[in-house]
Amino acid sequence: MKYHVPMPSLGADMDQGKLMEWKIKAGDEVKKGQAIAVVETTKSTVDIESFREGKVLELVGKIGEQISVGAPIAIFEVEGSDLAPSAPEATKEIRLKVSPAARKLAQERHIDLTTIKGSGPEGQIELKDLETIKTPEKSGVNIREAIARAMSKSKKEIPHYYLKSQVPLDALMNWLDGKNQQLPPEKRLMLPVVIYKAVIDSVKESPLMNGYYEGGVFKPSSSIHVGLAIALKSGGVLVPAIIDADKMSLTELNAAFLDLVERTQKGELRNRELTEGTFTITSMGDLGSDEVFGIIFPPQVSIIGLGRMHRAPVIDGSSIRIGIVMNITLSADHRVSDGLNGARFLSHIENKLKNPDQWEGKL
Amino acid sequence: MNVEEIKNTIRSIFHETAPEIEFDKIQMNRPLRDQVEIDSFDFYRMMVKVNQQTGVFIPDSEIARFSNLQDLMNYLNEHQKS
Repeated sequence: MKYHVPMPSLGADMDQGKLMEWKIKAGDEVKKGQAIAVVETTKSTVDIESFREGKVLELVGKIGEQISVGAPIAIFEVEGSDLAPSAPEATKEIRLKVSPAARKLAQERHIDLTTIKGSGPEGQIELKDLETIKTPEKSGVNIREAIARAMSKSKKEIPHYYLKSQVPLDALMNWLDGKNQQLPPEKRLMLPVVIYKAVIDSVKESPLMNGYYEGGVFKPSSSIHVGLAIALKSGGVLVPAIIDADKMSLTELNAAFLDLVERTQKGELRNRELTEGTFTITSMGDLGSDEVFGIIFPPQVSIIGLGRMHRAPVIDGSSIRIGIVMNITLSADHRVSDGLNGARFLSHIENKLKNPDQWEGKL
Repeated sequence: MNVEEIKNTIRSIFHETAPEIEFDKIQMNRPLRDQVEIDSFDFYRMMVKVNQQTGVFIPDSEIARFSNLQDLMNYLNEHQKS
């Protein structure tokens, strides 16, 4: 039977994607998970993977074309009849009629054709319709719009509550110094990754923090795909996820993080990484503020904020010493969990960071 | 390595890792992050290269104490193997 491959949604804020490259051709046999196309969104360039196995009958989408989410980009011949949505009528109508000259100009000037009203036959967009359109100055404009949309949706719909713990990191740093001294330089473990590991392990014990709130119902996730807010050198922020982070050792998580940051900066992410995060960590790094209260990335239900590591008085029994501390915050969805659940989650994280020996033999 | 050689090594690592930064405009005694934007990922890659090229391992607890590039150079100068 025929299967219409839809333009996937690569985030709550995505309405359409621009087809940049085909990685398949008519007649190819495609496996599930195989990269079939490269799509540019307002945020990044992403490899689109196939969700079905089958034979390519037709490539419907044209290179350079802006295609609405849900509209077909290709047609496959697949086995069976389940899960085989045909192209919805509404999305068929969204396909734009554009003259070749107008399409070329739009591509050169980065004009979003879906925002243009065509004056030609059957609403076709002609060259003259584009002549008065101002060209976006740089891609940073679009990424700002994408962030604005996602964060506005979150603040409008999600009743956030916020908690904070100040966690001493001296024991963790001493443990990490000892480990890194024994490792070759290129295998060095990053301090932030060790903190991510503590958070991921704590999520396993706090299932109300991990999953999606959709259609008025919380759907917990059995997998943990940790979204990480990464500042782009070109401006803006992306939140790609490390898939199945809970199944990784500390060493594997370290390698996965380095790979993810590098591919994020190069614009080489996979669609799963942008769509399947089950909760998020945002980190101030060494810059900026001592604490950050994140805005939940919908439809997720929690976000952990890691402030800048800094020196502060720490009470040890009856004495006070200067220690290295980090403020760790939680923003969580009150439709799903209560402050007590959140406090337990933060407490799990704190205990793990104070007792790094738990990772002995599990690197 | 003498002090000048240590500085040249750090300059070359900056050029490789963060070519957008003009190393020679950085004031050694002022906090690095007040002068240039450098994220924790780039800083990590620099520390890996410093270790590989000088043979000196710098623990995270020491890095946390550095307030500028002069502190880093002093640490390398004091800990390099003769």
